[in-house]
Amino acid sequence: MTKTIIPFGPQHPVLPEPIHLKLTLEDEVITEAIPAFGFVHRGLEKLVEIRDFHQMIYVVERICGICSMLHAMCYCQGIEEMMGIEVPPRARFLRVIWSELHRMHSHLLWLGLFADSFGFESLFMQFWKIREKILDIDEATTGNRIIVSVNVIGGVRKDLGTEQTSMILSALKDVEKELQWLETTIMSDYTVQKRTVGKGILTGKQAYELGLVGPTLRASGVAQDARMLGYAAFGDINFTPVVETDGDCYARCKVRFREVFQSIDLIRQAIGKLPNGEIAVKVKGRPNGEVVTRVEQPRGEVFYYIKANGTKNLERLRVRTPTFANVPALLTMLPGAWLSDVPVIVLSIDPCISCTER
Amino acid sequence: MINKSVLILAGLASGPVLGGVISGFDRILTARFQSRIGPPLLQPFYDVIKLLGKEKVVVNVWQAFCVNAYLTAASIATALFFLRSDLLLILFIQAVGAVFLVVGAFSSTSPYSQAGAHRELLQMLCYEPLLILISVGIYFQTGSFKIESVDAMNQPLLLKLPFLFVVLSFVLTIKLRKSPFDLSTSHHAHQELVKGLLTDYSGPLLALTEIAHWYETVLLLGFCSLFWTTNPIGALLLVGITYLGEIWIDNVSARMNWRWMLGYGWGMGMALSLVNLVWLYAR
Repeated sequence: MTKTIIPFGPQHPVLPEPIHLKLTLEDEVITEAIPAFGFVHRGLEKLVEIRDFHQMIYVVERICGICSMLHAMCYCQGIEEMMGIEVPPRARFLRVIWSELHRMHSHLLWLGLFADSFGFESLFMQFWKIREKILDIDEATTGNRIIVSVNVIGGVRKDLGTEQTSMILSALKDVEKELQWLETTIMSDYTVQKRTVGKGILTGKQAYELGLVGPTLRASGVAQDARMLGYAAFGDINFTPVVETDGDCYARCKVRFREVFQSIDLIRQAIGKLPNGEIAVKVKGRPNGEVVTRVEQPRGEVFYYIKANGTKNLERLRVRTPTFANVPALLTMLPGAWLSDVPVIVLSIDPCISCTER
Repeated sequence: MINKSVLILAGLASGPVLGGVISGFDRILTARFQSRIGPPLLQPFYDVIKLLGKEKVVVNVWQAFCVNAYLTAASIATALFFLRSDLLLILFIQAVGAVFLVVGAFSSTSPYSQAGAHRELLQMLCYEPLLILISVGIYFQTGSFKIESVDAMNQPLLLKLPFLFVVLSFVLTIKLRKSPFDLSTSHHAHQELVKGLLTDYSGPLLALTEIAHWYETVLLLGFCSLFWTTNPIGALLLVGITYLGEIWIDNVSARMNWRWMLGYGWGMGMALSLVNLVWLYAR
């Protein structure tokens, strides 16, 4: 049979960010998929040579807009560990609140894009409409809608008053209600199920051996989540990872959809247990040594390696992002799939190319 | 004779005028379904005028010829409909135009264009037999393929051909390029083939494909109106409700694939058509 090669990306309406997939097709069935990166590389890790370790917070926040709070939190966590800084309990709980708000708006963005990938435009719009409420919360509590910039080494730079926590709880109630209304469509609609069930299946063993992370891994039945480590205040609140077992695109969608509700619950718990006290401690000295730290981003575990030598500039900063870990899954899922399923399968790992290329 | 000339002119003008207005309504209604405000009613005209003013860039001469043939066929089919001509003739002319669009896409080397053309052929494979079956049903009821004979009916066709009308709605979803059947190309290009069939068309040629699509919209909605010819208000209501239904379906369903379309189209479409035809024949 004649082979057709389709250049899928780097500029493609289905892809939110530039990734190139060289798809080899026989009829409309994919026989080979070769990904290529390098379209948005900015050399951010190398900036440690000219920016001091405080300024690097602003840099890591800009690795990716959607995960910005979690990049900064992971970085600050690493420096705090290296310098032996004890973060005040209130700051740890505030970090949980903003990080879960970030997860929510990231998942809602993804749910919309996922709906768009199988041609359900009205569902796409509804998810993005709900997402606006989360961005409004971010704006009201931090002054920014996406790059909230709340983390500093030693704590957080913003506090939440009683009025603000009440506003968050009230807004989340609306969000929860609107999401429950959409649940029937995203989870039970015939056409959605036809496009997602049984597509891009990964068994638990395959997912684990490929080194996948985040919802992509948990949808294959592996209960692995960096929040189980108890960083920030996750050790002080009830948390159990959301797990599905089918390993297909539908299961990955289900995990993320359920995680939005879980984030609402975690924020409620964090606000309920929010202790009084300081929100940051003063930082003295300069970091020295090396540390490995990780947090759970919306797409999965992010891994930071930081090496310092006692000067104001770090010696080395290395970031391993969840999308980098999840891309190998595409090489397993795409061969044998139909061309019409490519957007659904590619989107199902929630690729974040800005993170991956930095 | 004058009367016929007026009808031909009305048919030729209906595509660029009525078709554009229908497209404008479609965009606004779709936007409202999606919690958006949507563009102004005349936005489709602004888009087409802008495209017509752009530089003409053609991938190959054959493609330019095919677009013109597609537009010509679509306009002739619509004019013939206004002349109340033969249904089969109208359908075949429309089909010839659709084939030219496919051939034009095949003449490009773009894999997106080629895959889109292939899918368009599959869509035609699905809806053309159904359109013929609907015409056969009309023939069974009126004793002629002429639209004039439908006009002479005392009772709306819908009462005699309800299942065939459902089948026509199904065909309409495919022809209007609405979900779940916006497979070969879609209005917004947010699909795996980007603009699929129309990938290599740009500027004035893309404008011509849009105008031809408006003609097809008018023609198919006209086809719907045949099911209620006894009263113009009834016909208008039927067409309006059907089109609203199409927009609603577009907004409450995901895009399916061509295998599902063929299975569903042939299975459901043929079954409904045959049930209606057998019932007519037995009666």
